[in-house]
Amino acid sequence: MTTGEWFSNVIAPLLVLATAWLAPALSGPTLPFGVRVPAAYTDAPVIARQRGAYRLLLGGAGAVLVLAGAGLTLAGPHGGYGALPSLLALALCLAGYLRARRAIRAVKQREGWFQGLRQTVAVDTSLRTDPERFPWLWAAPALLVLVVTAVTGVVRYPSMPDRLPTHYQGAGTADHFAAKTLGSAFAPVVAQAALTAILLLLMWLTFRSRADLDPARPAATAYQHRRFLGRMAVAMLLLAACIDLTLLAAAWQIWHGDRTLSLTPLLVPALAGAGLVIGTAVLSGQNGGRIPVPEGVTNGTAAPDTGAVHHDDDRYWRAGGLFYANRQDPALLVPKRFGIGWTVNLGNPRTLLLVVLIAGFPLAMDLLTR
Amino acid sequence: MILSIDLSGDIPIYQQIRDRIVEAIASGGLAEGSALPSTRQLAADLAINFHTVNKAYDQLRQEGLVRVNRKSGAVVQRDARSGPPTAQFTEEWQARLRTLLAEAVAHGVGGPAVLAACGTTLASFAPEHAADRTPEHAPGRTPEHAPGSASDPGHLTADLGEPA
Repeated sequence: MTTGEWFSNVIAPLLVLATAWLAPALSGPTLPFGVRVPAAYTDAPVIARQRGAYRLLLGGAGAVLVLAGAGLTLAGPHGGYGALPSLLALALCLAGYLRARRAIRAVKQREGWFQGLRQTVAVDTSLRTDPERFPWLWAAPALLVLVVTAVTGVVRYPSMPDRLPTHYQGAGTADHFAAKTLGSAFAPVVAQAALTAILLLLMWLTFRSRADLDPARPAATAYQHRRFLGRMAVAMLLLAACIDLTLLAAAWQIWHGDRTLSLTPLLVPALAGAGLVIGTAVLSGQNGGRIPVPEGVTNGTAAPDTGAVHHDDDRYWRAGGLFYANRQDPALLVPKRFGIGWTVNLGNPRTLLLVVLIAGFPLAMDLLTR
Repeated sequence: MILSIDLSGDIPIYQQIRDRIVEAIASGGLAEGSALPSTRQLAADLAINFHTVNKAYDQLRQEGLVRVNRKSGAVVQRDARSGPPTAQFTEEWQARLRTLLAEAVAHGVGGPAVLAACGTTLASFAPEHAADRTPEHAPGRTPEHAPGSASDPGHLTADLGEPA
């Protein structure tokens, strides 16, 4: 029984299940399971029923999965199952989500929930002309850890062993080594720099992404959008610092030529960072839907008639409503419809650049440590 | 400024963008020198093709309400306080007003009702100004007429009187 086994068999799938369990409550009442519904139908019986069924499935089957993982870990060392338990948990959540979504969509279409409603899109131009300031200062912890790691590497370089471990098995035993070069020695620093840069870029892009405002209360949702951007950016930049700490802990052991990786100092900062992001997401809700709006924020003089509802944009959300593709839309990042955060617009050619950049990161790391 | 676009109606989106911006200038939500989002930003916010926004901005530019710079983007060029309208504008606007009033009369909306509607609409553009100005007017005039003084009350009364 090792920390690695506990992590892959119990902690990781539990994190997946917990996040998926919370997702329906965080996504906002007019987007149950990624289906756009008018505010008047958020209490429809089918939605309550599907929400219950989803929780029952995740709670029941998820508990079995986690308990089985715990049992196997206690029973004896198997070397861990890698990502398999997490993937099983993910498949379970996906099945529950798709089932609920299909049922709600069917009733929505059959009963014509959007018929006769004034489908509206609302924009607060001040979000563009007076945009929220990016919290650059919060990038300091990540950059500090990066600098400390780089300096430590430079200082330690002469005394590092001639062969450095470049890969570890699931249980944390080194199985690949490479000769000491600048590339193999400083791979963790490069990983830190790339990761920090990618997270900074993504969060900066979220500040340019569109706000999905509720046409019935545009000023209030614009306020929540601003707060949400700030909170998520701070949480993600602190997550970057935490992952950089994990990489510093890994680098420390690699540079000492440790044959067995001690996983606890690696997992603690990463889990703390993940907990911080999940906590921020739970407190804020998607697009800041749970952030309280002060009384001074009114809906302005241009408040639309009560008949205005958010337009039904389901048709742009393909493959179970998980992917957004709209060629007419110049947006790069759009708010997700299930869970917290953003997703890319697959209809925008520039999305390909972003995906290549992010997918290229592990490939580049692999080449560097070969 | 909150911009609400109705996607289920028959009015083209570019027309709605143009109309909402004109209304925002009238109500003081956008003043001379106020920045507007770039065409791409506004298109992304509305999830529409940026040519549609371009069309609206181009129309506003031709009307002299917005100027579009390569460097500073789109900026509101004039508002109610920027001085009197051009003669060309007044002429074109009166022609459109004539059609609009003819519609009301053809559908049986009476003269007083038309004037009351005009007064209410004008008041909605600048409610606080309307309240300020009411005492200036002679007794006997209905309060709805008061905001008319924001532009040119003489003009308005003359034009409205005709079809009624």
